[in-house]
Amino acid sequence: MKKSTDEGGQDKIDPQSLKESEARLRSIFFWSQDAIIVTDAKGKIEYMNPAAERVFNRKLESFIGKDFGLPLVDGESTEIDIFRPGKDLGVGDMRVVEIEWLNEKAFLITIRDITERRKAEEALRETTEYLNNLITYANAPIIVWDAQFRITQFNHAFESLTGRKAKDVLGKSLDFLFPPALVDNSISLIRKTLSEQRWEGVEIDIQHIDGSVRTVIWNSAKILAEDGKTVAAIIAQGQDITERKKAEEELKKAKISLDLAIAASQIGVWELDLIKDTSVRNLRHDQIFGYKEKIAEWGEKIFFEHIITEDRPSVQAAFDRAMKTDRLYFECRILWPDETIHWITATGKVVRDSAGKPQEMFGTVTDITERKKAEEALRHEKELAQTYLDIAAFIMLIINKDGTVSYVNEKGCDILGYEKEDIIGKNWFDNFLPKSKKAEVKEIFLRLFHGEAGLFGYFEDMVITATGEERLIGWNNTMLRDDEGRATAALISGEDITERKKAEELMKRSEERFKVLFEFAPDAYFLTDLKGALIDGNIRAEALTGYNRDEMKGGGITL
Amino acid sequence: MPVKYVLKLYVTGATPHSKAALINLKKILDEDYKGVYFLKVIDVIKHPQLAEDDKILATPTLIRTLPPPVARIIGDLSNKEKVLLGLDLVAVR
Repeated sequence: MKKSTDEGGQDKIDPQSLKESEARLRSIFFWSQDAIIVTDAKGKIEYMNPAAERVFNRKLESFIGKDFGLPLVDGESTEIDIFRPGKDLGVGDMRVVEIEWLNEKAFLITIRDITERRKAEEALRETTEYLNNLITYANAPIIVWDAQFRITQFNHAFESLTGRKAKDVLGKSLDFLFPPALVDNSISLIRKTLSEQRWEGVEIDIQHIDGSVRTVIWNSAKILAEDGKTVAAIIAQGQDITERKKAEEELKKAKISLDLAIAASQIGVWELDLIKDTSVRNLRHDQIFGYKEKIAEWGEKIFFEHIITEDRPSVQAAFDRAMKTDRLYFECRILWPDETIHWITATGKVVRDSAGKPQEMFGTVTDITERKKAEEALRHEKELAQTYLDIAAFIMLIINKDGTVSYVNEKGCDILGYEKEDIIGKNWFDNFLPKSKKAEVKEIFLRLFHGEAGLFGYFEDMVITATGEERLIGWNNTMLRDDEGRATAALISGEDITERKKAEELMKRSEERFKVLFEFAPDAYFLTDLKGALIDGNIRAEALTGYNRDEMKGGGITL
Repeated sequence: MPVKYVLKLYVTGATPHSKAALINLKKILDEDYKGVYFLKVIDVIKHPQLAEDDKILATPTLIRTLPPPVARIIGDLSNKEKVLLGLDLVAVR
């Protein structure tokens, strides 16, 4: 502003310079992005710039001369709410400075529209609140610490994990989180994150306030400052795998026990991939097939090649059944590389995928050759015994506890006069004994079955043949017993002694007759041995010699 | 009988500014003009027409309507001296 001095020494403001400076100000105001309002000392509007028209959404003309109000600002600036019909409510940052306008005291008011900024701040505040809530209430323990390793956030889940409250740990250093022996290790592991962007899946143990330790897997990420380079904070989220680890340990132990058990038991173990026809097996499995070491490849196809041709259909049937029932079981003969035949038995279980399609089978295989040999030998012996029984010269019968005949040999059929079918299954006592003897013999049998062994090892009894004839049989009995020693059946052998008995009877009678003749003969009869010594004599002989019977029998007397 | 002062305070809803303005004003008035003022609070959101009629540009705006002279202040009402000065009221000692 140019000043000219008059004679009185008073400064006189040159109206021209006044106008010029006002014009200059107006042009500066015109281009300003902020709203500029010039009011008089009472708050009446004298000037409003184009930006003010925008901010207040009104036309300049309607406001010149109207009251804005005395602008009060305490401090540098104050926030005001902008009322602008036709537009949303705004927020402004108002600054006021006293100026001279047209030689009068005036207020220069600058209002910056911070509506958008306020909205952004509000949105940020809401987002921050939202994120903080996410962290606070997340299921997994989450912790945030700053570049000095001091805790800035500690969520509820972390409180549960450690037994500590967030308010007690905020601002503290991380050390207390780890078991004392592992602090240094854990901290150095964490320092590594400052050199990498993030790590995943790192196991770091966390200590509860009560001293117990939890195993936790951590994921972390760096939070960068606004410069995009410096680390402002680290956020880490954990997953408590303590239980899982325990389970894994148990499983490991169990597996070791199982492996030992399998190795000790000589069981072959196999796992078959049904789709690829490949397998996983233990050494014993391949040894069962006659190989000293494990061979390179094995699957269902190769397995079948080892089965002897005759047995293949039944094994195939077992596999087909397994596809339906999920259970595999079979016995079969296999051919070893050295061309010997062995017996095996196998069991298995089918595993299906989620769609129900069979994916794999796993199971066991054992060598049962010895057992089969023993079974075969036993069967052979049984057959042999059967044959012997069959061709024996005696009657052979096996009678069950309930009295039915379960076996009769050829001789028995001959003597009884029936076919085998007519004897087997029938009740012995009801059908083949004389009625009068039935009860008696039955009783004997019962006593034998109930353990009165040794009684009546031999007895003679009658049977009735098909023709109604009675024959006398001399019986020997043996009890057949089960593993617990209980009698299950009686094995009796019999000899047809009918003729012999008749002969014996005749013999006895003729002997008696001879005796009478000997005794009462009118002549004296002497009996001597081959040397001539006296053995016996009759009544007449006694009278003749004067020796009595006993003396004669005593020996030593020679005639 | 001292004459009653009639004041109108325009605020925008329940923004922090609005609440602060009301609290500040009440404090000032109750200190020295208790019972002597009549304050009407108008929410520009609820009564935009009234705001328009009174040519309100921004809030908080406080208008002294009676007794004359009419005075209007706008902005920060926390400074008691400035407020009373602006309203042409004298602080009663």
